[in-house]
Amino acid sequence: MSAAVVTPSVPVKRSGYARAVRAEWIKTSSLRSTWILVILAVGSLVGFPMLVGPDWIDFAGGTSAESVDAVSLLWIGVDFALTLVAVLAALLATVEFTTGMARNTFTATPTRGAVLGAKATVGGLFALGVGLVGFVGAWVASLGTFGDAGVSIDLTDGATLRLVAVQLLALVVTAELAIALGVLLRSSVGAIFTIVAMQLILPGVLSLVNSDIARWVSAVLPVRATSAAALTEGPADGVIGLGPNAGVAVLVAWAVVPMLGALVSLRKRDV
Amino acid sequence: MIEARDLTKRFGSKTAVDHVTFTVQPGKVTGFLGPNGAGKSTTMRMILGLDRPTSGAVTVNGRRYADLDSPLQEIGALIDAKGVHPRRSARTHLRAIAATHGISDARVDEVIELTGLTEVARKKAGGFSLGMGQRLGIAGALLADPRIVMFDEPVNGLDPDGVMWVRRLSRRLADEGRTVFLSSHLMSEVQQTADHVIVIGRGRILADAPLADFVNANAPDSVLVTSPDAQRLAELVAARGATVTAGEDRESLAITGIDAREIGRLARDHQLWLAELRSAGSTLEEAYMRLTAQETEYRAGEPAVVQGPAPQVAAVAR
Repeated sequence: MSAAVVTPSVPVKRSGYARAVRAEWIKTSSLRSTWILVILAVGSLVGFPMLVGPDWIDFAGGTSAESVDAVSLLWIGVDFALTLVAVLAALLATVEFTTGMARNTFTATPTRGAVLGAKATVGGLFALGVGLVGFVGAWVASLGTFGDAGVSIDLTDGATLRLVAVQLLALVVTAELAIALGVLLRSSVGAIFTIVAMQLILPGVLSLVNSDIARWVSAVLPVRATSAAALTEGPADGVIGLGPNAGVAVLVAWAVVPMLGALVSLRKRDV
Repeated sequence: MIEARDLTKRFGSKTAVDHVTFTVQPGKVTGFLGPNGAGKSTTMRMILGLDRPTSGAVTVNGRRYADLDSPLQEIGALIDAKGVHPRRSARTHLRAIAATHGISDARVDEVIELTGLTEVARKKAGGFSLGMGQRLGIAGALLADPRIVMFDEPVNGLDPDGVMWVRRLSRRLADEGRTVFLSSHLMSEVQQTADHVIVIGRGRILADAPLADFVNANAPDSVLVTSPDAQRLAELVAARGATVTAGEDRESLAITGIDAREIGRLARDHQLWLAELRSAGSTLEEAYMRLTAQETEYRAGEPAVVQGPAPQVAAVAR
């Protein structure tokens, strides 16, 4: 048996997580749909507070409004942005399977976990970027109105900072959850519908059901966990709900557990 | 080199690949033949680690695909020309694959040029014809200058120029000492390209032999005769151990096991009228059809073939 005598002339490096991140970035940033979703998400974060306009201050409690109330107003576009980020992230995973690109992706990077990690990184960075740019944009747009009313946003204030951090975390968690669902379901419609149902439909439906189980299920949904995590105090006695730290833990679990499921599925199933 | 050992893949109750063992050698073009659904693509997907074998193993240059550090440099594969995001340009698609191995943009442009895609490189891949998609898939396979190239149905959708190009490319890569493994159901194409053939049918290896040996063993050269005295001639050559197949009309015969010169002499000695006498080289297609026909009969008559790890139903002399 003759040994292979060919010496490839093209210099290559080891494939793995870091280079897969670069590949995912090229793939995602080269699609126009990505930037449309990013612009819409940032636009909703900046634009929704502006729609409320000068009435902000009244909503926030007039001139006596505290920094944290003002900041929570700045996030009123977040539900819309979350949905758009979920769509962006779900597509990051599902288009691999719907276009057949997955065969190229997994032959170039055979370690399934490296590819999933790369997608989680790129999706998370998009979510974080949308959140940061959107929040700063909304803040800058609000300076006039808040300044006139004598309300200022103080990021050194613990409650304010916590609210901002939790909203950013919620965006990242939503992206990770969407990627995981995309890998598990391999269907764009399925993944996006599941996220929208969890974010927008289920909380409303469950609030109509008069049972403690329904209230607990509702309390651990990502939306409610985010609200709980953003506050500095837990629920009143006798009210079913999560405390602030439990809220953060549940929120993080919404990213970690589905991602682990996605990793197992990706390793076991054929591409 | 690709080595498959007892490779098996079941999808539910259906066995797509059934205890397959073979080696694909460097420096040669190896054709992988079989009808649609015979298990060619599934075998190739297992080689690339995309499908997990139910049992058995396959290695690429001695290692499992998943254990390769820079897999694209070991084996470049065209598996599915449609495996491209339709809204991404050809060049960006290749840059994304190149990024996983730290391959430069200059090399990306090189393979674009090599595959004749320069003019459409910045166009969206969704608008590509099947032939352009195949070229893009081949460009991706060649990015890292791999030691093995594996193409699944590479000439599908290619125009005659493209078919010729794939043929020359395969030849050149093999001559450089690389391993070239091509699947096809187009026998005439394989006959012109391959040095060695592996035939798969219903998930089993039916033959694994040099092209010429395979053709000779399954469809020996025959002599075609047209003669008003066909019946008498048939008796004469049959008496000398030749095999005769009568044509549809009463006058034509296909004879194997005796050459044209000898048939001519017999006819003269017995004063038989030969209207036509010519040697017919046999084709891979004939050999393949005959082999698969035997296989079908064999299976129909003998359902209990399942014992033994890798039954070589038609093991051919090497």
